[in-house]
Amino acid sequence: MLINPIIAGLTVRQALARRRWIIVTVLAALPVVMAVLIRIYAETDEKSLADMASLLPALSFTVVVPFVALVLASSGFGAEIDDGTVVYLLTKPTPRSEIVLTKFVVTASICVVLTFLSTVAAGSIAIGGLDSTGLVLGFGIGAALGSVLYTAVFLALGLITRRGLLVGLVYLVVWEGTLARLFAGTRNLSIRQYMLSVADAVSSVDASVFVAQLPAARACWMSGVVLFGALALCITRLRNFEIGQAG
Amino acid sequence: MTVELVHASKWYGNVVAVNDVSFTLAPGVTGLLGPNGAGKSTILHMIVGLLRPSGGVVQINGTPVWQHAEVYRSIGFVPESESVYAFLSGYEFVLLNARLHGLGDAAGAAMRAIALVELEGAKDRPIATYSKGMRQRAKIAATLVHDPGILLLDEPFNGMDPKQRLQMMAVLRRLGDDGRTILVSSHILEEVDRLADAVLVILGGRLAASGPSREIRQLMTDRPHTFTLRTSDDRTLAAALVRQSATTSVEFAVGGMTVRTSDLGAFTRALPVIAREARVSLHEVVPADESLESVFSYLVQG
Repeated sequence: MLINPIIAGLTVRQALARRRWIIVTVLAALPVVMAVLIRIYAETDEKSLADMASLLPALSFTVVVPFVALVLASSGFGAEIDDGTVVYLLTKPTPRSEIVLTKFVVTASICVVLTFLSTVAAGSIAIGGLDSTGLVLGFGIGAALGSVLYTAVFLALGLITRRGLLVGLVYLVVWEGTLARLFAGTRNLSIRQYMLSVADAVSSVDASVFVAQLPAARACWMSGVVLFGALALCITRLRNFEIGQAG
Repeated sequence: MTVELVHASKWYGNVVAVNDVSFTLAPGVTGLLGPNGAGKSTILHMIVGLLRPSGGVVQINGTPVWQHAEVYRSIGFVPESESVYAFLSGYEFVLLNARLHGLGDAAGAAMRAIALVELEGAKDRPIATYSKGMRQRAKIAATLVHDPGILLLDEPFNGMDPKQRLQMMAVLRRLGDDGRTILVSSHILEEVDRLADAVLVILGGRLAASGPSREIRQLMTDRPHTFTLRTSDDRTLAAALVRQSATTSVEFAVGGMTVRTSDLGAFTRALPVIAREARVSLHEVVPADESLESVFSYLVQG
């Protein structure tokens, strides 16, 4: 069995414990609040699709998706290793790969549901319904992809270093926030660029309204590399996990 | 159920935590005695597969533990860390462990384990509200839930009050008498002496002594003892003391004198009698080297 229902139940409770659910709900509500404000203050309906196309990724892909994933994934291994409760999982006759995959699937699922709903709701409110070009849905699918990838990467960080949360933040701010915007080459290793690319590929929106900078095909296979790479790293790290070390 | 360490070592870079330790655990209760930082937890973590031995072999029933998750069906491990899933109730925590072991009647096993540690009254309260001792008992119940043949407990009596301590010792003794192999680490000699049939003494990462607990206790009490005495007349008492065979030496120092004895029992019985006969008042009698470290150091030297 790849997914362990007992560990799945525990992971849900851990992910939403310690008021984490309040943090992720507030984060997910941000784009919706923004969309409502746009609706109230927008002057004409024509401008709203372009506004949404520039504002929604800036908020959803830059803030909501990565930070919801970071908050949820840090409860995955990092927090358990820190407080020592990981011992109760590791001293059971459960393959370590099963522990990793269960934690990943559960955490990513919560993240996908939250960010997809948040993004699609915000986009629909901003332009008064789903658009004919499929851009809102594209952003939703982009957010879902980003959730999956960020969760895998942040789970791996929690197993590589005790400062997984900090390293995750540095990656988001320095790499994705600054370098990936300035240099074309770094975009190949930016989950945010993969999200934009998938949103562009899913929709038939005019390039004057929204265009991604990374070809969709490359974004797809790079996503695969990141996902499988991060999960393989998680499994290897957990198999070789030694208590009391960097973890 | 056998636990075997053969020349097991663990080092971190240049720091040696456990150095060439070999022993085989027999059914019954064995105490792992040593001061804090001696390497007890490292040894337990190697046995339970949470640390990879840097050298040597650690195996259970002939199978190396490291990266063999199946051995956990026969091992129960109570970590020293107090952390548990604080958002669960005691019952939920024990049940979770039963389910993770894939037990058929997980609920029944959880209730039996909770009854064994007498936690029925608080089982539905969140663990976050438990006292230290109750947490400890919840952890032990969670470890006993799958009825393991090998039980490893890292400082299990920390935080328990004397009554809980005695009760838990009785439980562990009973489990040991039933044929389970139990290893209990502690830095308190009396705890191990009361509980264990055999004792392993760890100091500085090495196995300093091992044997039946009575022999180890004797080794520890028969060693030379040093006392610092403050009296009304040091010189008169010193003259009387040196005539005693139990007195090894007497030294005068500022504000008192230091007396060494080779026989603790004979000396402590004789001292008040000698003082009375010599008409000397004893103001202060302080054992000078009673720290556990010095006791262990003696064992290593001896």
